[in-house]
Amino acid sequence: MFHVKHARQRRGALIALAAVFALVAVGCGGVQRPDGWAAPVQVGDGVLVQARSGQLSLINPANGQPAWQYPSDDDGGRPFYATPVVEGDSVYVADYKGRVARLDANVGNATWATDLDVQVVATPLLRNGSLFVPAEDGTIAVLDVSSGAVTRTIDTTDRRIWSSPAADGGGLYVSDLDNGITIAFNPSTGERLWEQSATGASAADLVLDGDLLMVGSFDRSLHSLGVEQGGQERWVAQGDGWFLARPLVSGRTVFASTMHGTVYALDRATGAERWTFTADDGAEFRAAPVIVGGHLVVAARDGRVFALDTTDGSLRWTVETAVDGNLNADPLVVGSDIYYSTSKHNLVRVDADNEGAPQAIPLAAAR
Amino acid sequence: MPIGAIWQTFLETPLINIMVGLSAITFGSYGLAILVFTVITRALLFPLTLRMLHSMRALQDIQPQMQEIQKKYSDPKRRNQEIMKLYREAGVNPLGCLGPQLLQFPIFIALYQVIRITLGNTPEGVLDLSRRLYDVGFIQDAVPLSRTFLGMDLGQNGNFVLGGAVFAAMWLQQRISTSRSAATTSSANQAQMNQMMQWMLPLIFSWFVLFSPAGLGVYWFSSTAIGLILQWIFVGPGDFTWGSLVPAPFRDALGITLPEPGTGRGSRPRPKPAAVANSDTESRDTNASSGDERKDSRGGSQQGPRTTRPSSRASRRRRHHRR
Repeated sequence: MFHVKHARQRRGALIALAAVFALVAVGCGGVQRPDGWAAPVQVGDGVLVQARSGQLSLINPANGQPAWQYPSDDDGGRPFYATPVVEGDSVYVADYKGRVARLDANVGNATWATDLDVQVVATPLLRNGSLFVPAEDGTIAVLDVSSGAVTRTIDTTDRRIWSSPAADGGGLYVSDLDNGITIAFNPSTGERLWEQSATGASAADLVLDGDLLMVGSFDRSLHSLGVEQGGQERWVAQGDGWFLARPLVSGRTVFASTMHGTVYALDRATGAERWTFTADDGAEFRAAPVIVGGHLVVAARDGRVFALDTTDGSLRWTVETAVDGNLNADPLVVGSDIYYSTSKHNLVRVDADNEGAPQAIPLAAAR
Repeated sequence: MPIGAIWQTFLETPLINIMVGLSAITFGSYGLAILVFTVITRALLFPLTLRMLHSMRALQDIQPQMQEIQKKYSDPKRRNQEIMKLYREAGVNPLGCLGPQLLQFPIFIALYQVIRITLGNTPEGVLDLSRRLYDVGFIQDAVPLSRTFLGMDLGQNGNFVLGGAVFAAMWLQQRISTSRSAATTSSANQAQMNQMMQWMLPLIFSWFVLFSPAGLGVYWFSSTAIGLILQWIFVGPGDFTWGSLVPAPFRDALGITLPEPGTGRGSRPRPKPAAVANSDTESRDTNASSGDERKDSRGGSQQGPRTTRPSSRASRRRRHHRR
C-alpha cells in the first residue's frame, strides 16, 4: 500500500517536473530577434527591399530577380528598420547597429560607410546636403552626404527616437519614445527652438503639413501642433489605441490609424471626426495608410488589406495577402500597385485596380 | 492547446499586464514595479517557503539517524527503505525543499521574456505589446515603460554590479545553509557537496544574470535577499557569524573569535560519535536481526546518550493515535 502510494507520488512529481521543464523550454525558445521593418522603396525600375534580415536587395518586381544586394555578405545581426532614402543615383541606408552608408543606386556599392555605434530605428532625413540620423541614445548625428563624416551631433532628450523627423525651412522636428517630448531645432545650428511635452511618447513618423505637425502617440491620441506658434497644440484627437502609423494628410482631411484596428478621418483644421472604420478580429495598423485609385488603403499587421471610401469610410474591398509574417513596414505605391514587405521578409504586391488581388513576389530567387 | 499558447495565455500575458500595471502604479518606474512584484511573489510563495524552511530544519535534525543508518546497513535497498522510514516518521519530504525553487523557475523564465517584451528590447516587441495588453486604460497608457532604475538600463545585458550582487547574496545564503548542516554533517562527501553548492549555484545564477536584462538581475537579487531574511528569521543563522567571512589569518589580528559549532541560533549540536552509533538501537533491533546490519558497526555495544527523535507533526499524530 505504502509502495503504491509512493510510486504514485513519484510519478506525479515526475510529471510535474516534466511539465515545468517543458514550459520553461517553451519560454526560453521564444526569445525575439530583431527583424527590421524598413519599407520597400523604388530605385529606378526596381524595388529595394529587405530580402532577408540585414540584407537589402534591389529586385525586379516582375520576377524577384536581384540586381544587387547590400551588404553582399549576409549579416543577420544588422537588420534595417530605417527605410532607405533615395536621392538621384544615391541610396542612404542605416542599419539597426548604426552603420550608415551611401550606396550607388546602379550597382549597390557603398561609396562610404560610417559606424555611429548606436542603434538606429528611425528613418533618416536628408536635407541640404546633410543626413540627419536620429538614434536610440537620443542624439541626431548629422552626416555630410559627400564624405559620410559626422559634422555634428544634436542632443535631444537622451531618450530613444524611433520616429522619423520632419523639417521645413525653419526647423527640424523630433519626437521621442520615452519622455514624450516633441522638440524643434534649428537644423543648421542644432539650437533648440521650442519643445512640447503634451504629445506623449511617440514612435510614429512625424508629418508636417503646412504649419501643422502631426504626432501620433502612445497616449492613444493624435496631436496636432502649430510649428509657427512654438509648438502650441492646435487639437488632439482621441483614439481607441496607440497611433504608431504615420498619418496621411490629404486635402482637408487627416487619416490616421491605430493599433486597435480603427481608422479615423479627421478634419485637418479642427481635428473633428468625419468618419471611422474599425476592422474586426484584432486588426492592428502599423503600416502607414495610402491613397491609391481614390481609395484609402490600410494594411493590418496580420496581412489583411482594406480599401475604404475616402469620403465616408465604407469598405470597398478587402483582401488577405496570406503571406508569412506581419505587415509592419510602410507600403510602396507604384501606379496602382502597392508593395508590402513582411517581418519574415516576404514581398507581396496588391493590385488596387483589381480589387486588391494579391501576388507574392518570390524573393527566394534573390537568396 | 499547444504548450506555447498555454505559456503565453496563462503565464506570459498576465505577467506582462501585471508588470505594466505595477509600473503605472509605481510612478512609471519599472524598477520599482519589479521590486513590488518580487515582494508579492515571495508573499504568495510564503507558505511553501515556510514549509521548505521547516523541512530544511527537520532534515538537519535527523542527520544523526541518517548517518547511523548509512553506517548500519550495507545493502542499498534496505538502507533506502530505512531512510524512507525515517523520513516518514520525522514527517520530512526531501523534495519539499524544491517546491518554491521550482515554482520560482517558470516565473524567472517568464519574467526574462516579459522584461524583453515590455522594455522593447527589439522594436517588434513594442508592437507585439499592443495585442498582449488588456483593454484597460491605465495599462495601455503606461507604455512605453521607463527603462532606467538606479542608473541602470533594465533592458540591457551585462550589468557586472548586479551579477556581483546576485553572486554575493546567493553565496551568503548557501554559506548560512551549509554552516547549519556542517554542524551535523560528518560525511566528507556531504561536506564536499555543500562546498561545491556554495560556489556553483551562485556562479551559475550570476552568470545567467550577467547575460540577461538587468531587470531580471534586480528580481533575482531582491528575491534572494528576501529569502535570506526569511531564512534568518525562521530558521536562524546556525553557526554562521559575520566574523567567519574574515579569512582565518586575519581573525586573530582583528580579535575575532568564532563560536563553537552547534551553539548558534537555530543550529543543532554535533552528535558525539558514540551517541550516533548507539542511538535509536531500540527501533532498529528488528532490522539488525534480519542480517542487514553491518558487522563492523562501530561502537554498537557502547552506551551513550540517546539522540532524541525529531518531534514532527507526523510522529506526534501517530503517538496520539496510539494512545
